[in-house]
Amino acid sequence: MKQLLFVCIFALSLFAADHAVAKESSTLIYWEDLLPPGYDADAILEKHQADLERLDQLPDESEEGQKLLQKILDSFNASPMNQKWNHKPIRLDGFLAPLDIENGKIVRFLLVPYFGACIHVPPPPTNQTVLIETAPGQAIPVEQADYAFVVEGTLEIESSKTDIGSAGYRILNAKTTIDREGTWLEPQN
Amino acid sequence: MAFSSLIRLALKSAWSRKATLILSLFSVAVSIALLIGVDQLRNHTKAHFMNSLSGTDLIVGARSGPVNLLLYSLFHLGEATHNIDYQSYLSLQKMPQIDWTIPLSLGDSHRGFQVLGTNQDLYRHYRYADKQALQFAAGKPFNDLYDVVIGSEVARRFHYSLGHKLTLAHGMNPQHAIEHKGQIFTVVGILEPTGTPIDDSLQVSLKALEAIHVGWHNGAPSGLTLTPELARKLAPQPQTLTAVLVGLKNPIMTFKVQRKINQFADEPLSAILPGATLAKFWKTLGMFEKSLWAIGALVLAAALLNILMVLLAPLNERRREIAILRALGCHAGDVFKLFAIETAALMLSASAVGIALFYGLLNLAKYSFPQVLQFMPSLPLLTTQELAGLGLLGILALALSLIPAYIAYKRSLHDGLTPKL
Repeated sequence: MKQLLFVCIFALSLFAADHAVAKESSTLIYWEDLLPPGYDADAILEKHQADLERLDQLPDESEEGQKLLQKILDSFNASPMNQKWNHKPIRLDGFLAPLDIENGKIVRFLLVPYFGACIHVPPPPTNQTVLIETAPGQAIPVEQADYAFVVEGTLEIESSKTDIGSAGYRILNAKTTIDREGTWLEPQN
Repeated sequence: MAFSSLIRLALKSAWSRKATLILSLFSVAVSIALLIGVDQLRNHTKAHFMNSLSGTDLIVGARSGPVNLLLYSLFHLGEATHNIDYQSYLSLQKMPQIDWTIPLSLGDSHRGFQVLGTNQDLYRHYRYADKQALQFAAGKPFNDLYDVVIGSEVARRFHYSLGHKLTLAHGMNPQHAIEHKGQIFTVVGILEPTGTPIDDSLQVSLKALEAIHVGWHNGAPSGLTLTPELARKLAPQPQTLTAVLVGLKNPIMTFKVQRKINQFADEPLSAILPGATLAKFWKTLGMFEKSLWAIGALVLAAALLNILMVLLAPLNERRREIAILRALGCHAGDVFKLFAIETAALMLSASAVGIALFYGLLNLAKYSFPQVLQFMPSLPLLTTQELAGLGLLGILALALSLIPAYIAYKRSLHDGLTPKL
């Protein structure tokens, strides 16, 4: 009898331990957190201070001016990844750009910070885009494509081997929860 | 009274009022056919549209609305506003972020079915539904200039098999299409059914499309009659395409590549995300679908009220009938059963007629509008939801029949065996 009780408690504790390990809590992050520290518009503009002064002196449409402008734009487009969140379980709120639809449900999409990313406004930089593949049963019905969603999963960062390569944030086996209130996705502090 | 005799009596009584009851039956049958039709159409449309493309990151075409580009490039509905330059396709292939491309050229038909000008990349890279590739039921992809591969629906409809010879026609309208006489194509491959617009298409190489249009200017046939051999020699490199399907090495780059293509210096191009555009398109269809549902529900409500009326109206005349039945040993409670049996019989026959009506109207519509309804099967199976809906309808009608049944019951108690008419 005592042995039976012992076995039961042991089995229960194993189950509880397994459950506890499996459910490590995910951190809620915001889109700014995906940018490497010190990477913002003002910092880039400061780096190019000399170029900007030179641009002021040049006439419009000059070739040198175009080259300088392209140099500054390239800096903006560089968009490096922030390694801090690599392999960490996170939650991120964003809007969808559907990529693959199966049986009326979106199974693969890009998570972006704002609504309408694929239409008119300039596209978000690559470090503000996350490729999401939903876990089985977590696919989003097509009718809900316009809503914001909180995506939960482990963030992976593919490092690029070439300059184009497969760089970018992605979450595989993601859980999705609809966020009907989401409009401006800013930190609530 | 024994239930079996009650059934016989109820049916005989109904038969004596068959004129109004048959009209009532038809009104319910029509509304059932309508509701089943809406549900079937909705499910098949959704499957057809939502499963047509998988793993494609961008579709590139001439400047036009995104839904328009999606519809004509993938679903062969509507027409391209303009073609794109073949050079642009070559430039796309050179872009480092692009993994694969599938060129598409539309504009010709065969007996009402779309002809797709493309190359081997279609069979290498096209995916649909759950990342399925195109499979061959027989034969292999086109190789020779005058080879053609056909989709499963084309093969089924015209009973084509490998080795069959056919000609293509310019333009999509079967009545007004100008045949490319003298240029005979041979079927070398038949595809497995996919449930996508590929089933309703014939595929030839881009070069073959150029060969049959040698000497054509601005859509008008040339005065020359060319032998196939001469056409082989004279066929130029493709000049234009209708659209290009694009797969990227890294989907994260989708927006960047889309932007780059939209700002292409050599030609005004438009790149769309098929997933996002499909979702938007489905939302538009969704509103249409809701209004169809609303109409269907209202029609059904009218039909149910019709049943109620057909049961209530003759109640006065039936007082004598019920009095006689009571004299023969019918309990007061059996009156309810009488009405229930009549309603159940009405609903069962209305369902049967309604389902038959649905199949009949569906095939009539398919015959009248073959292009639009090609994706609907001829004998679709009813889903469990539809059958459950029919069951629910029957229960609703039975519930409604309680009203006249109760009135008749009260009156029969009051009347006894000698109703005062």
